[in-house]
Amino acid sequence: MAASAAELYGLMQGLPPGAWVAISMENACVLAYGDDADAVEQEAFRKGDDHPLLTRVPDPNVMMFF
Amino acid sequence: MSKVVHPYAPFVFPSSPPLPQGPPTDRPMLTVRLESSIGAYYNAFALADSGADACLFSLRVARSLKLNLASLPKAMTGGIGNAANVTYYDTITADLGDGMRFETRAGFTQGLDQAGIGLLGHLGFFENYNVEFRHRDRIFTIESA
Repeated sequence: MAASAAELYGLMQGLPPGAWVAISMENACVLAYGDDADAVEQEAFRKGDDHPLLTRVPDPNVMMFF
Repeated sequence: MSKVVHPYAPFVFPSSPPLPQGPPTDRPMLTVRLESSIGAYYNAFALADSGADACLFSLRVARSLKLNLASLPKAMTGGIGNAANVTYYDTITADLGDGMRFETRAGFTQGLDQAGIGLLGHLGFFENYNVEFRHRDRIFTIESA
């Protein structure tokens, strides 16, 4: 059964705030993270995931208002 | 017709001087698989945002979807902290899973690059689904017509 969005979102807990993160939706794990989105995505590709979920770690110093 | 209950996505933040109890960070978040008209895909987190007029994503997403920004119509998008951001629009398909899939005009803006998530707004999302927020229970429900 696929992991829920809440479960996948929780994988970022403890990672550096503001970092880009590539998450495997199939395996529900963090594939790569870092400051450069392209490098993070490429690392995920290198690990065999052609369509990682790419996002950023929430930053406690930045309140989000949409 | 289908109806799916989603838990809010929690994220624990430490306390800070302006918000000693910590910011309220449980969010009505979904995963969405975006598909461009040329068949490129991108998986993203997206917030169910009844304050957004349309579905919006970062410019980083547009690049992965291989959209040709120079050929797309654009408009300004306003928000807190910015007078306006240039936003490019194209038609995409958004797949929420559970058989919920819709085509919509969506915007792509640098203003969302910092957030790293997308917004599911009225055009495309709320106009096609009944969405019920039960914030105290930390769940939300999406129901297709």
